[in-house]
Amino acid sequence: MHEQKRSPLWSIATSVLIALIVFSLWRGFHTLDYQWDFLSLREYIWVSESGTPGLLLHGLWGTLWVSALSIVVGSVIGVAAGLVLYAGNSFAQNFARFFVEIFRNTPVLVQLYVMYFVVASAFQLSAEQAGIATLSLFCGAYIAELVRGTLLNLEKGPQDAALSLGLTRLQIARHVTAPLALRRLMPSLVGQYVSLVKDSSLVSVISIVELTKSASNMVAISFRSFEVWFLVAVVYFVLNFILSRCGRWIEQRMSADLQPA
Amino acid sequence: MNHHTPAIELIDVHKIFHSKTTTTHALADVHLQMKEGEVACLIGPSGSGKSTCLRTINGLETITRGAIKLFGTPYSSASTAHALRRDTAMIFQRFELFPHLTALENVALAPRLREPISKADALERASELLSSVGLSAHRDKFPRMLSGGQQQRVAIARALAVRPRILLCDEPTSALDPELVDEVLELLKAIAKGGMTMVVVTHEMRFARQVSQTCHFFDGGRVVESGATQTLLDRPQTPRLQAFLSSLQGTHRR
Repeated sequence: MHEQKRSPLWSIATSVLIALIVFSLWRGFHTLDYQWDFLSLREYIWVSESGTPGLLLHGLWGTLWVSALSIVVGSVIGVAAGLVLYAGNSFAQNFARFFVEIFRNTPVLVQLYVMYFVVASAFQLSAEQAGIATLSLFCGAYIAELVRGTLLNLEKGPQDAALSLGLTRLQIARHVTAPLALRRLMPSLVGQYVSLVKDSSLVSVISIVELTKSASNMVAISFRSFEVWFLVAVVYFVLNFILSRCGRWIEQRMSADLQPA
Repeated sequence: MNHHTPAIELIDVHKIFHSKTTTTHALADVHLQMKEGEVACLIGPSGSGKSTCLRTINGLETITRGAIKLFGTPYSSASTAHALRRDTAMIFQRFELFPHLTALENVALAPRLREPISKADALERASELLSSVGLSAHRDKFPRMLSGGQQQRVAIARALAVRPRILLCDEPTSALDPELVDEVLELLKAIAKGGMTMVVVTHEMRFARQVSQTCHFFDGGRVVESGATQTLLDRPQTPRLQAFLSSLQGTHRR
């Protein structure tokens, strides 16, 4: 990693900003006059009496598997729809375009309700299935646009070169286009995944047990809403921080040629 | 193979580009014939259709009308286009190496995918070709770490790796700094001496004189004048070629 030189003004501005935030938080808490008690949350993390995971860990597990599954299914849908948008015939393109516009331009919350109360009833789906289907389609619609845009902006020279060497379309896609497109796609793709982890909190409205649902239950029992929501925010942060770092790592692995020698 | 069958034959080739507002006749009524082992240069002002013509020969550009035959076999469908592309290889103005692969991998990729040889054999061939273009020391570097001249030499090795019968060169030195031009031209001369059939789009008239037997002058999408290189360059018949050649002398081009 190489350090970037920044002007001293930059660090002064950052310090001032941090000071302002700390001051307003401190003043806010002071005015609030609230007795903080994070220790009371211990029982929600791990039930010492029975030696089993508490509500929070149950919720975390829910968030993890709902997000992971939605990311995988959403990526498959997104790449497929993106390829159709980029190079499909006009019928398939219109169909993909319709799908993308519907899911990008309506609130996920509404999509969840429709999927759960209408579609899920029609096909006898569980809440989890409906939730994951919605998140996957939502995520897929965004990824489709990313894939289309990336392919559209990819320089055509290396593809022409591969074609002139007598490689087949499939070989070119696999060995030239995909590696070049994927590393361009990575940063925005990871951004999309991070959004999805946060958006997964919305499936709590169709009573799927995940972090946000667990948090509401914890608040209902403990009345410690500040502590609970802070803790949950920290958990989301850590999850997404790890996700971003993994993304960064993969991105660097895929761009060995762009690293300083 | 019949010795009289031309290596390359373009018959009444037309290429029309359509955009929303304009229709461009990039190639019109182009007839070309080349023997096996012949080196031909396509010259002409930019936008005259010479690069488009080159790209039609290996099917990178489809043609609107006419026929293209390589060794007597015409391009007719996508599948024959693919088969014929196996006889040709191309060198581009901007090199167009695969940026994510090392020099060695760039050269080895096509043989490994096209031929029933092991990865080790493909790398072995690539390694030999890289040393033949004088780049053994740089085999594990990525394209962006190489100079333009080095990149173009990797591109030449990559083209030769598929053992083409025809080598197409699209302004192979136009994107190079002047001091790097010669290393690429020398290499192309050596390949021409080795008996390769070559079509070279170029602005380097000295190079054209040294390596090519025939020259075709393009202007406005048409072949305006064709002939033996010496004769064509020394005694241009048409006013347009005369004007083109004197405009080149006005610049520092050779």
